[in-house]
Amino acid sequence: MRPLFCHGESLKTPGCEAFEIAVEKRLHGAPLDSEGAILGEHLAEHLAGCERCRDYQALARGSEAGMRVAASAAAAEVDWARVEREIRGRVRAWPRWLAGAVLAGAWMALFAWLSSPPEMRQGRTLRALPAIAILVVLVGLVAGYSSRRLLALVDQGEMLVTYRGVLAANLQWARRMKWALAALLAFFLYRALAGESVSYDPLVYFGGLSLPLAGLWIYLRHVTVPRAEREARDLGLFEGAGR
Amino acid sequence: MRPGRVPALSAAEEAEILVRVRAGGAARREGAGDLFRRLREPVHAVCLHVTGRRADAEAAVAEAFLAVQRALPGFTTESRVTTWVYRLALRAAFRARARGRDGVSTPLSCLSAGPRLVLALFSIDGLRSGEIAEILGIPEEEAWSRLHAARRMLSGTQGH
Repeated sequence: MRPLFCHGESLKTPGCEAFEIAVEKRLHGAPLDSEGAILGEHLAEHLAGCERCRDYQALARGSEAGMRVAASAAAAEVDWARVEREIRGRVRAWPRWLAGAVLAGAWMALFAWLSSPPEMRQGRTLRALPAIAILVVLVGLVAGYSSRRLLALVDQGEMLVTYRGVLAANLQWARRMKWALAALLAFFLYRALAGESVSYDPLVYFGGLSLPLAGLWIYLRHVTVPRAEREARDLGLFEGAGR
Repeated sequence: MRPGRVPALSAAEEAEILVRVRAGGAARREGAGDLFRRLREPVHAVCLHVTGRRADAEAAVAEAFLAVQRALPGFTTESRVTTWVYRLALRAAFRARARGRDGVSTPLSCLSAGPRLVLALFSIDGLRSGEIAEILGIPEEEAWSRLHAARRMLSGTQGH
């Protein structure tokens, strides 16, 4: 912020910036401190002789009025009852988590079953079930912890600084996950095509596990990372912008 | 305060809503519903100015209030519920803006996130500068300086 009194001006002559902030405070009905009260007394006089500040006042009034009209018009078109119903319908997260966990577990069990010779199917699938359950629960716990941590961070420190920090960490995580998934996918595909085993079919087993990994990789590559990069650009993360 | 300006939610009303939400069952649904109905329009306005698109603003409001309803029973921070809701909504709005691929051409769309955010918050009736400073996590005088800088940037983009 520039000093209240501009360089070269007498101490009784505040600069335009100070008057413009006084214009904002008056426009927003904010109480004036002692310094602001002095400015307030001289505001009309200053505005009468300063075109720059008159333009500023007109812009402030005009843009705020425009924003309010646009917001009112947009809000009038929202079906609030529908939005509220949608929110209520999604408040309980656990049914979706449960459905996702069952689906993921069933997928892994299916490929444990399909990849085994007929006489070993039941035994191998049953032996794999505890490992599958542990994996699904672990993923659920990490996801749950991650969303709670994000909610806790919302209320800490300067909003944009905190948010840029979270976003930078998320972006870095997504980029690393993309490469880690690519490496894992390459390994699975190699094992699917080159692996040999008498007790299971590597093509079915590793091929089956590769499919959701490939889907996840495509999602990270084409949705998550580009979206996080757009958000980071908007927040000035790449430019290192302070505000 | 400007004539006709009414605070969206007083501290006492927030406390009363928290009590109902923590009681669970139907009281929780009613309390969360009241909070939504009291704050939905100012939150939607902020989201609209931050995203620049009506559809994104609506999505951001839904996402923010969903997070609010899930986390409200465990709300323990020292800030006000309203401040917390706005902060959640702003994050949802930035995410919603990033999800959209089409260009946005509102007067604020050419500004970066910081100035857009400040102008959006100050355009809301019922939000005082102290509350805006709390939402942004900065001192109140800094909020005025940022508003002034943002308005000057807006003036630059409009050729004033």
